[in-house]
Amino acid sequence: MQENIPSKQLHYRKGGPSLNKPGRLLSRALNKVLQNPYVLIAPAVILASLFSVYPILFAVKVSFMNWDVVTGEQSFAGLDNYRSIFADPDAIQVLKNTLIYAFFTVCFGLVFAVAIGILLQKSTFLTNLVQSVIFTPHIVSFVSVTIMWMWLLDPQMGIVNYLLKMLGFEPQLWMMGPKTSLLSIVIVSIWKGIGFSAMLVIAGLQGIPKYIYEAAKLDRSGRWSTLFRITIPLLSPTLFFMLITSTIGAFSSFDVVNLMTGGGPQGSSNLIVHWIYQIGFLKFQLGKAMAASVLFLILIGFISLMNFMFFSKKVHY
Amino acid sequence: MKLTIRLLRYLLMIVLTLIFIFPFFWMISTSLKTYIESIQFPPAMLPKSLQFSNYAEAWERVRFFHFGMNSIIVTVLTMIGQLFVCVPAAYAFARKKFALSGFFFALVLVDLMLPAQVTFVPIYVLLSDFGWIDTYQGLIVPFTFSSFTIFFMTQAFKQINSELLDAARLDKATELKIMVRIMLPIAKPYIITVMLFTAIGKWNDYFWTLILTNSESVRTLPIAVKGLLDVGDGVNQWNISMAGNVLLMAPVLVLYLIANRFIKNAFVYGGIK
Repeated sequence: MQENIPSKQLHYRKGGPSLNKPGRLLSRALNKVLQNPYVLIAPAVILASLFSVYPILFAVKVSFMNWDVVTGEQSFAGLDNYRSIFADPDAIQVLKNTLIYAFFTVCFGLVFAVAIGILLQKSTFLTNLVQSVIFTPHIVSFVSVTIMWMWLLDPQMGIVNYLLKMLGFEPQLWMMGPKTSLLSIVIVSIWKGIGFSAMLVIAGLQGIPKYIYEAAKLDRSGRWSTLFRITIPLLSPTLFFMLITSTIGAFSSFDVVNLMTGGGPQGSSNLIVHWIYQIGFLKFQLGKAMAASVLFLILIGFISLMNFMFFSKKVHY
Repeated sequence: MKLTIRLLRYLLMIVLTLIFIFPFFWMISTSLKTYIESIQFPPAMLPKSLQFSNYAEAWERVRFFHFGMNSIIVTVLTMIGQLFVCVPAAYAFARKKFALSGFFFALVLVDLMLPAQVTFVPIYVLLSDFGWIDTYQGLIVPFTFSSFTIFFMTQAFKQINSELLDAARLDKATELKIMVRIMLPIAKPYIITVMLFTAIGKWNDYFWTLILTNSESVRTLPIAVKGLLDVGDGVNQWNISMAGNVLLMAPVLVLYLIANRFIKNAFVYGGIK
């Protein structure tokens, strides 16, 4: 009690209640705690371990187990889950679908992005407007985008088929047809994502110094040789970044498949993540789903490594 | 020659605009048609009379108020959570030297390299062990950690002039004061930017909501609106579906119209660095 007196005096002198002793002790303690970087990063590190590192280890463990979801029984299965994946004809189709889907979305995505980026490179009112329009699908939910496109691509009542008929082409089944389902989700994915990639290209183009183009002009470099000898090489860091992120993104696509086709018809548009979802959540084969996740993890790691090895040499900084 | 190239450029821009505007136009147009009008052939570009009742019906059928509230709760709490989890961590990574900082930063970045789609099955099992399936905390707590937010904010904090902080320390400012009174105000544009990312991402999220919920109690709007398409008798009322879809998109589109330039710059900045 005695100790409280001076602090009370201080409090009256300063005219604020915040400097009484318990408060000051608390703020000192808090200051000490907040100076410790480990305290600052603790929540993030705990959550990161829990939701990104632990799940990987857990998946590896469970992929070697039989796990009955209903009874909760677990037993060691060895390589059974992995064997059942390699023996599953769906696995081969899903892998093939994913490779085709990723190849087309990534390649066309990059080419279109560069073309649109060059088209809209100069910042004028008009180009900014077009940019905003192209960018809009990127901020809209996949649910919205797919509902819109399912209406456009409806085999009976959709306007796309109406236009095709008008121009004398065969109407298509789009997401309902085994031959066109994968194409449909590729179209929608590119449509949704292209605005973002184009924006990255535009940002990259603005980073190229003007004097290089002036020098090229003096050397009478033509339009195409300027594009392939100067613009694209100098854009390569951006393109490399886009290649890696869009490849990973394409391999982890789920929404567009689940919403538009459900992987069908006859698995013609099923992709890896959606297939794992079906095994784990619709068929309740947890062990097999985890084994598939582990293989998928290895695949993603491998692809990123390949991207690095093949393309980092071609990147000009 | 120059003129043809110019004309070609304008033509390309018009085609591009059409490709990206038309689906939106068609959605809005359909949302205001009668059912008969929506399925007639050849399709009519514009409805004869505007059926605003479609919106009322979509609102009722989707239970827009219920799912909209869920969306708002989940979005806002995730943003607040990220402010408490990610911002202090980013501050430490950007501004403090400590022994294991490289290791922990790499740990955070693992998540940036590996999409959670790779490990969603074990994440589901973990959350169901917690009893968090079908709960708000299940849809919020795991997402209060975002490697992207940490990465982005670390870059932002690194740009702040260190002399300013030294001066504050000389004046015996406490850590909390430095953080709240100096760092946060300077980093405000960046914080608003990442929070925009978080809000849009969370509002639009379909994957995690589908996986982490079984019932309607905590589900959010995207799944509910998607439900408009799953009608039992096989006949889809596209006009109602489109009205529901417009309602789902409206908040994000309004936000985009208001903060257009800002969001665009933000995406470019966030994507590149």
